[in-house]
Amino acid sequence: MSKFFAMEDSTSESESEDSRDSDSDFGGGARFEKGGRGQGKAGGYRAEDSEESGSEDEEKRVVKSQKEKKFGELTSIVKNLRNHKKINDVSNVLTDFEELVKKFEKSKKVIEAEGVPNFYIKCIAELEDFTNEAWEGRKKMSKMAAKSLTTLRQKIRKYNRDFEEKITAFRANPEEFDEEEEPPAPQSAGGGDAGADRDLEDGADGGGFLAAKQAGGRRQSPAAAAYDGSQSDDSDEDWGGDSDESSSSSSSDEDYGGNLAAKFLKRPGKEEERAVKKKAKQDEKDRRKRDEAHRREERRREEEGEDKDWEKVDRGGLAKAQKVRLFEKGQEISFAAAVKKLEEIRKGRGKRGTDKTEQIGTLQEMEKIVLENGFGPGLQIKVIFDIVSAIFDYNPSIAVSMRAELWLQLLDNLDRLFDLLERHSNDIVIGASVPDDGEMLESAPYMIAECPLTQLERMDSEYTKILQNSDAHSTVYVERLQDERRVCSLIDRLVAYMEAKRGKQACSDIDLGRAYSLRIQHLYYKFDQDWAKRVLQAGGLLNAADVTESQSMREMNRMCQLIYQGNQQRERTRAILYHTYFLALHDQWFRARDLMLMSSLQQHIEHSDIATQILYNRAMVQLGLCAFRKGQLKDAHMALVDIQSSGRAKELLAQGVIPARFERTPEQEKLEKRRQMPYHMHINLELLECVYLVSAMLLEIPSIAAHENDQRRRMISKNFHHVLKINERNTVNGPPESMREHVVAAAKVMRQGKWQETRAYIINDKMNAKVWNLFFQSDHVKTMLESKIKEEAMRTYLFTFSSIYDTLSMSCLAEQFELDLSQVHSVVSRMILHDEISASLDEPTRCIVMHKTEPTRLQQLSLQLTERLSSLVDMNEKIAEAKNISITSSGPRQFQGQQQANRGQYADRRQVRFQGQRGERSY
Amino acid sequence: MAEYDLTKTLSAYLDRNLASTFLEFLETQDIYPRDDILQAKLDLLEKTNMVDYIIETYLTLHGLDDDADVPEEYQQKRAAVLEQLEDFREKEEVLVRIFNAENMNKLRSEKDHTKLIETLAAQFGYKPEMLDDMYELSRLKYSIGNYNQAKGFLSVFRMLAPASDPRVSSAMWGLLACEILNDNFKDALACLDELKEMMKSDRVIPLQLLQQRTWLLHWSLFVFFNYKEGDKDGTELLIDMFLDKDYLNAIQTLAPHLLRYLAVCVIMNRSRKKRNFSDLIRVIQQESYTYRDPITEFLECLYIQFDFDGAQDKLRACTDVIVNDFFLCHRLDQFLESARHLIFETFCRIHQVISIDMLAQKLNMNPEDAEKWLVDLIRNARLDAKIDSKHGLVTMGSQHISPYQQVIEKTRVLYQRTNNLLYCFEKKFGLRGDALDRPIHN
Repeated sequence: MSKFFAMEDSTSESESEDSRDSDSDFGGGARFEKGGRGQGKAGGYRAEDSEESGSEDEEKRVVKSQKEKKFGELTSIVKNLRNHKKINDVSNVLTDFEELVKKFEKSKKVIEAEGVPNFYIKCIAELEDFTNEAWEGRKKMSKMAAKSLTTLRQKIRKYNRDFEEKITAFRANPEEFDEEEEPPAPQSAGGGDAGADRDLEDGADGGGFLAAKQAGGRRQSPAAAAYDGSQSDDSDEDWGGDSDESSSSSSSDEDYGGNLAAKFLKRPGKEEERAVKKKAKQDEKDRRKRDEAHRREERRREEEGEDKDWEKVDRGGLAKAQKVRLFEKGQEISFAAAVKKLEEIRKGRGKRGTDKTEQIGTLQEMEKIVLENGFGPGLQIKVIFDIVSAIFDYNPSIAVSMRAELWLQLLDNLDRLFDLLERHSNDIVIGASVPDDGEMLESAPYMIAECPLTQLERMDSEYTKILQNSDAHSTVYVERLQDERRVCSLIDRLVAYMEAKRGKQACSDIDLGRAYSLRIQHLYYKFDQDWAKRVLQAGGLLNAADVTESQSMREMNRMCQLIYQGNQQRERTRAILYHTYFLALHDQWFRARDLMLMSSLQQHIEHSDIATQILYNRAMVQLGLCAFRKGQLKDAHMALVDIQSSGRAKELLAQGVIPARFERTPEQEKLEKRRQMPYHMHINLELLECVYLVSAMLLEIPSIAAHENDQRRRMISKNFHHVLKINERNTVNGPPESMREHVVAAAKVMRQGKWQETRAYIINDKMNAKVWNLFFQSDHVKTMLESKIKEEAMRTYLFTFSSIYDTLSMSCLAEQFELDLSQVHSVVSRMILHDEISASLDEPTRCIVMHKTEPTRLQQLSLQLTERLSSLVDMNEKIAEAKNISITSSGPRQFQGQQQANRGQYADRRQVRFQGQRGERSY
Repeated sequence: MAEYDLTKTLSAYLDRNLASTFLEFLETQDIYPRDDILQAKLDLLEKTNMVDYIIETYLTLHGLDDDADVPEEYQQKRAAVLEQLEDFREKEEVLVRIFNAENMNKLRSEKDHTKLIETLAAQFGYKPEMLDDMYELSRLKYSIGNYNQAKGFLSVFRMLAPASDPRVSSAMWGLLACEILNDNFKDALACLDELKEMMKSDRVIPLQLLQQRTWLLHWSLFVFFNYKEGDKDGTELLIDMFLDKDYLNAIQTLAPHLLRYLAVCVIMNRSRKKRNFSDLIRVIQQESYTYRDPITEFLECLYIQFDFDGAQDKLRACTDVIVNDFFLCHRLDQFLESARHLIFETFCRIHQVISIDMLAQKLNMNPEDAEKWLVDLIRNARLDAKIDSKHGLVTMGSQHISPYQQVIEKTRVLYQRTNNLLYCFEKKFGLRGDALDRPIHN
């Protein structure tokens, strides 16, 4: 905006200061500011003027715009021609000229009405001069150029004969040609005189025309030309070109070049004249407008300052569309008439012929009328609802999001709606429960059959859509994100309104639940910083339950409770998931876990809709992260394994569409796009992967070490094995770079029980920056990790090297792994008790005595052989069963039964696992 | 010790009359000031109709012993209750006449419900309204503390009331309370089972079901800790019920404090099933953030942290808790003995050589007793170990299985299975006529 304003500003400057320098000073910051400020003040008035001039000058406008259009085209050609002339590009001048003539012929109709424009005359006159001048120097020209020049000269002579009279007039008095048409346009820039109405649009539209006219007189007054250039709505560059040109032309111009002083001397007079004319015109305009403006001003004042913003938005977005007249001038507007009219407008809704932009404009006009005539809040609310619906209707496709201006307008309208609702909260009954024909709009108590809740829900989904459709790394996104405060405040107002109405006819608990879930949606993923501060003050998060709950937690709890009590299955499920997510985010591990377990959602989540499944995945991930922070590695692993092992975490969390492995139809793709989470709600995927891998490492490495010789060992994490395998395949492994490489490197050294190195790989500056510092109270997490690494490394060490030792002193172990003796004792005891190592403790000496049960090679092989044999027998039996041979024999029957039972279990397990896979495949 | 006292928590799930027994028990302990308990008892009783009991409590509380000091309100209440009883007198007489012991015996043999009512109406002039009277009367009797009569009316009520009557389940609860308060635990157990069945078939919303289960769990404590028949101990039944999936769920959701009783029972019946332990420990671990007391902590020390010293400390703390617990106070010795075994068992499994001194210390015994205890264990073949009395050490026998044994174990059945398979094939396809006569290898 500033550029445009600044231009105007510089215009006024140059007018008063009368100096060419002003052009070069144009960029000066001070002026920028000044212009901006002046503009701000005038903003409110201008907006309304444009509307009025629109409604009044409707007839005139049509012609004018046609004229403008034609003349605009001509002007641009003239300008090109001028430029080419300057660089002596004769062949192009010729083409330009031909084009100009052609255009002129086409515009005949307009020109007949308006008369031949002066700039045209000027142009062709000058062109003739130019050819004459150039004719002399044609020897120096290239062959092509010379040829063009000849053609041009002939043509122009012939053509100009038709305009002989006018050209003579022009030559006699060039100034007059310049002045005569000196526009009504170059209005005062609105700096000081806020009352002096400026029709911005007129200014903008007329700009090109004007510039052309001025260009005609440019030779006489280059400074003025420069000024006009700045006035025109050309782009920056053009403008720059113009000013350059003006200076160069002033020196090269043969006719006037020497008389710079004279040129400047003339200026003041011109300016005065112009100012007087302008003033007269504006005064006239003012008078007309003020009468009407006055009326509006009055009621506008009632509506406080907000309207200014509101009007401003109008300008940007739909200003042009608002030239609508609802009632004939002078027609009496009664309440019934207004209602009828409104009904009429509404009927147009959704019909093919209805212009949606116009519809919005009409409704806004309608609201003004309602206000003007004091028809009361009932009708106004009704109209606002219609405006809101119309805005929602604006986009026919669900895939496309709303434009920013429309969106802001929507927010404004909703704000106004709630202003009204709050102000009249006692005498308005609003809601879907009011029957359509039971509406009372005229007097209190108002009954309105509309539902603000539904509109807010639509608004909310629209907001999500806008965020989805804008690039997350752009400023646009940030701008829209800033609107979240407004969105939230709207929802808060709705909730407050509904809570006040709770229990009454218009607001059931179900509706309140819906309002709550809207609110929860904006709350659940936000980390409560106040709470975090309090926790830190309380000296860390050893037991988060000790710290008093924060405001948001209480709120969340209260709202969720209400939804839990309702019967809305889907709402309840979602509320549980939101709640779980929220609790997990705030490190309330036990509560989050219990909530998730008690809901027993795991069993039937795959039957729910995809949005809920995504939410479930998100909640599970958050739960896993929380478990990890709390040191519950197994739970963390369990929670994350489904998401992570599929390798499609991005897709499952709806944080981005990955290239499809299977063909997807465009519809599917569109659907998937619509499900995406807005960027600010994303869960950090690298963090997720790292947490998963680290917990998998801490579980898997000891298990690998323990079952080294086991043929049928079960993998805990396939994904982790996969990552390991990829790494092993490399011929050479450099020092780790990425997070994943770090974990792999750590896993490798951990296999040898080197806990210090493991720790160094897991906890270092790089990993801190990438992952750990993202956690709340990352120090706690790191300490936890370190102790886990020690413990698991020790376990791995024992598994791997127990065969080497005969006895092993526990104090040595404690020293080696920097653990407490009691801790070592407890870990070793557990291993012995769970038959993980065959050893026992020698209490008096505090030693671990290994039982040499490590099988020899032969023994190992024979054990394997027996395994194979028994599976062979299993297979045989299976085949027999398939052939319908019932294995009936008294002796082994019992055994057989057991076998079958076993098999049944396996089948179950397989089924379970299969279901698990189905669970993973949430899409 | 008030810290671990569960009276308050438990009372919330109990009937007034049942809860009053708690307070009577607490009077004998000295963990709370006596006056507080009396006051609590008074508050509790005021809503019942046991007027004399109320007055007695009141007098004790205020150190009075003169009837003249009894406040007016109690006097009035007594009059009101007596009046009520008087109102019911006639009806009661009729009922008692109809349902005397002799008739009851006859009626019991009648299985068909409608027929029963017909007979009653024909022979004794029974009217359906009497059902209401019976219910009301039983409630009145219960509230004045006459449990025996209340029980009598209730059991008749249960026999005659149609299954659709909404009061049936209330009557059942009443019956259970009566049996408990009458110390008739065998019948109480039957009532308990019946209530369980009723809950299974009742169609109520899950939340209510959960609530009812929790009540039942609490009430059942009275039954299980007092029931004993032959070698069957109530505590074993308690384990079965508490570890049932539904009830365990109820414990975890609403009443984690019941874990104490479950833990004690599991420890006392340690030899029964290994699975009980793992289940219990899992639950204890899960709920450790909402409920913990020395008993659950003892198990945590022993099975999660393997901290034997800690376990020893906790065991000492357990003693105090158990002595002051209404249900557990009589079981202290049994519990300690079992707990000691538990520690020792775990200890033995981990260690190869243990010094007796240390063991004695861990088991909270003096060394000589410990040695005797060990000798007993070894002699009864419950422990594979040898005592080195010179050094004061116990050496455990090795427990691991050699690879040879493993191979033998695994292959032994294979031959049998294959043979059997072969036999089946032959039988099916009749390859050999003598197949059926083939002896089966064992």
